Amino acid sequence: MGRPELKLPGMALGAVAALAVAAVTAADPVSGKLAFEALQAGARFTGEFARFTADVTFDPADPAACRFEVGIDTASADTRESRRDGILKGPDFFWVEQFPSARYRGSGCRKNAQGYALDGELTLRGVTRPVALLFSFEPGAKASRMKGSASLNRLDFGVGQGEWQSTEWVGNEVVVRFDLTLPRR
Amino acid sequence: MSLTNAAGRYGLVPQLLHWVVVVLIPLQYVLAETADELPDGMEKLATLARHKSVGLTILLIALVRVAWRLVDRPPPLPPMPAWQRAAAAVTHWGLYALLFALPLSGWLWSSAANYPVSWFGWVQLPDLVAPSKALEDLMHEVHETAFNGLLVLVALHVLGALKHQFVDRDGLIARMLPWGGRN
Repeated sequence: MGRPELKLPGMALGAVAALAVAAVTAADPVSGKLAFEALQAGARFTGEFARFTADVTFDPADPAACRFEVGIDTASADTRESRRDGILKGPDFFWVEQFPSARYRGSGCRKNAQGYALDGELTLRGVTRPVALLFSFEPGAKASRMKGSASLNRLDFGVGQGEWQSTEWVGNEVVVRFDLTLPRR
Repeated sequence: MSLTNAAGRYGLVPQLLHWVVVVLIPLQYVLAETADELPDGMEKLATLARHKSVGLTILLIALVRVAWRLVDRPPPLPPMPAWQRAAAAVTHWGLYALLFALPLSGWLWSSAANYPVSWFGWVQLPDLVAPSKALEDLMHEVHETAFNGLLVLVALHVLGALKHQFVDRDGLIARMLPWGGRN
């Protein structure tokens, strides 16, 4: 899966970087996808973050020992339409000049009927709030696949200022989906 | 006055569908121009969403009209030379073609721009194509060209009707009106 190269030197965010299963020693470039979905004028549309890092330690034998550290380059948000991307990155939404990155952190995963859950915290636009992840994990010999989602309300993070605080044309709920291939270490 | 077509005039259902579209086309133009002039923001998003919902309504009506026409044949044309008969047929089928082409190119344009379309927020329609900047630009062109074509055909259609009404004095316009005229 081709990803744009990192353009800003010194920024920790690579072309989708990172992670591992159990002990992480280094962040390797892996294939991964971090997408979001929201309702706009009654229709569900999707976008993606082209640049993010995911430093994940997860062992299905000991989910409680898991650790997630995800960094998201907010300016890499891409909905495939430049005017909408402009609004999304602008001061009313992500305000990427002021808040160039978002972060998700958590530890202590739980097994549940569907797979695994993690109660972590998302920092977005300078606001930190609990956000729960639900995910599945398919172990592999060389790499494992982790797939899941989270649901959050954009207004909890101030994403949508001024007229955009209304949810008449842009829904409050945003579903974030991720699909990561984690090399085994 | 019958719901279906009679020898001398269109039925009430085809008449209603015809005149609803006559009202919706200028509304579409106004919504599109309004959206064009608005800055990127919620009002623009709302105006374009309404434009798309009305466009889908026109597409639905076009489907019903063609289906109706196949089942309930329109009244025969008044006597006229063969070239006028041909011109009327080309104009009518051209108008139908554009009543499909405009909403479909708009829908394709939205899909290509990754703006899924909903009908008044009640039903989300499937995307016709995957997002593509090239297709988005092409459909923008097609949509505007089709609208210019529609203006030309509507002008011919109206001029033809007026010519029959006031030059030939054959009462043609009454065929599309629920009152007056022959039955």
